[in-house]
Amino acid sequence: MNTSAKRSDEPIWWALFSAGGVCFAVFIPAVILFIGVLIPLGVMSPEALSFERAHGLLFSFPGLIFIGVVICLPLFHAAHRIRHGLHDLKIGRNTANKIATYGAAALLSALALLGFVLGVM
Amino acid sequence: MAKQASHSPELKRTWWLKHRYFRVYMAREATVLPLIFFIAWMLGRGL
Repeated sequence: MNTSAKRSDEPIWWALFSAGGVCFAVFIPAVILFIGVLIPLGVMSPEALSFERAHGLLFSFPGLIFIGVVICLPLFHAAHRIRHGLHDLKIGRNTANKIATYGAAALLSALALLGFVLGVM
Repeated sequence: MAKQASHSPELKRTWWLKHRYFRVYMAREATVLPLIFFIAWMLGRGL
C-alpha cells in the first residue's frame, strides 16, 4: 500500500460546487423573482422590502443563512465552473486558476460576511 | 524494459468550436457569468 499518496483537495471544491449549484437553482430564481420582477411590477407592495424591513431581515440569523445560500455558496459554484471553463479554453495554469477563482470567491464571501457583521454592529 | 510515456493528444484552444454539442456545452457553461453579475450587484447594493 502506498502510504505516501498525496491527498487531493478536489472533494472540497466539488462539494462546494454541488452545494452552490443547489442554491443557484433553488434560491437565486426566487430572489430574482421577488427583487427583480414582482416588486418592480407592483405585484407586491414595495413596503414588503422597505429599508427598515429589509435591514431587520438581513441582519439577523436568517439573514446570515440568506447570505450563505445566495452569495457565498453560489460564488464557489461559479468559481468552480469558471476554473473548469478556463481549463477547457486552455487559459492559464491549473494552480494559478485555482488560486484566482477560489481566492476571488473566498474574498467576496468574506466581504459579504464583513458587510453582515458591520450591519449587525 | 523502459516504460513508455503515454500519449496525450494536444488540443487546440478552439476545439469546442468544431462540434455543435461542444458549442452548446460552452454556452451553457457561460451562463455562470450572469450569476456572477447578479451576485456582484447584490454585494454592491449591500455594501
